[in-house]
Amino acid sequence: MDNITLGKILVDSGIKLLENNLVQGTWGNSSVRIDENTMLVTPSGLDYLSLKEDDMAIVDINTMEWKGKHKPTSERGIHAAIYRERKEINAVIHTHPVYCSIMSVVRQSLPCFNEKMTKLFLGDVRVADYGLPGTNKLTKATVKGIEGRNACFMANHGVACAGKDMDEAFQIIKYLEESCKKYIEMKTLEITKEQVFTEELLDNYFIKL
Amino acid sequence: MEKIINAIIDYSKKLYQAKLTGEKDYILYRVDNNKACYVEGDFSVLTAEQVKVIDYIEDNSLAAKILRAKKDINVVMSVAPSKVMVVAKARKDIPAVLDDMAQIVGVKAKVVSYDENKILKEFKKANSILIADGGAITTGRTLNEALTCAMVLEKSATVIIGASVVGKYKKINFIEAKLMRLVYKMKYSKKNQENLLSEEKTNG
Repeated sequence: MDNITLGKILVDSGIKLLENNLVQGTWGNSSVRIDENTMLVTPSGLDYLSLKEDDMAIVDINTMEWKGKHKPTSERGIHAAIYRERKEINAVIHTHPVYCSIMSVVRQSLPCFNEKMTKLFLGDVRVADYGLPGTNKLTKATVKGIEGRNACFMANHGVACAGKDMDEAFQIIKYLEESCKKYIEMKTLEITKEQVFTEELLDNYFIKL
Repeated sequence: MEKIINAIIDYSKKLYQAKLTGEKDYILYRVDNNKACYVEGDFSVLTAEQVKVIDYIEDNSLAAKILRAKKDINVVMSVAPSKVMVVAKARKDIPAVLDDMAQIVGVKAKVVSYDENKILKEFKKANSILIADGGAITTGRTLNEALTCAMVLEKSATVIIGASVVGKYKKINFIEAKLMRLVYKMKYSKKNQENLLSEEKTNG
């Protein structure tokens, strides 16, 4: 695939992330592998709705040198490290959806509670250790957290998902967010001993804490 | 002035669409050294005709007092995001549990009872606060900055409420949260915000 076609994949995935409430504003970033040594990655600070195919940056995953009209995302190190470690991965999404963020702040793994989760995530979704955004510490922690999995939470930050292509990476992030929401609902019912989940049930539990 | 008013109406719609509003919210926008645009009401149906120009130096409202006290901001918003209201009802502060909260709001957003002196005192060190049994007041150098504070507060409120049934949330280390806020303020510097402010004033 040429870089314009790959760029179109990133443009389309950004719009899908927005439409599915998996990303807000200019936050989050995505990439696709070009070949063994390079990736195409979304730029820093541009609105998903205004992104064009040729706005993406080409980044060498070994040297981190980049080419393009715009500076690539400051989290490019995480994308590159995942491609270096995982030859079967061709697409990475890093974002901060709200239910995944809940798991990231309690720093608890999400267990698989159905077959689809096991198939998509390849096991329980772990929480990578905390690192300040854009740091090598965060990159190393994320690579370790996602080892042997297709996703990991990033402590107090968000989530990283990886797939054999962008369709799979998107499916993973979407289902992971849905699974986290379901998990919170299950936990609410367990703790309140009620039968039917409502937002008010959770809110009232919190108020009475 | 027409462009500023259009920008305010545009942001009131954005706040409504992002589900950050209640039945009676307001926006106060500093135009110059004594004039400000003020609008209040149901943000789903606001029109440009409802925006009033006030003398915020003379005005006795809480919003005007905040604007007078905080020289570094141009916008004061009162909003009522649903999860922020739950946290405010519980009279709990929203700590920086997520990087975006640390960067955009700071180490914490405190819940303060509706007492003007207490609110003004808290605003000396904060850009956003929660009102006990109410919503939130956010501020910013631009409309976009105040809106972003409201969005981040609502997300953080949703996260700490959800976390309560899973386990104990872990806050970001105080020093790291402070560092992130500093880096964010430098990145989105005064010059950068002046450009945004100029856009809001000229693009409408």
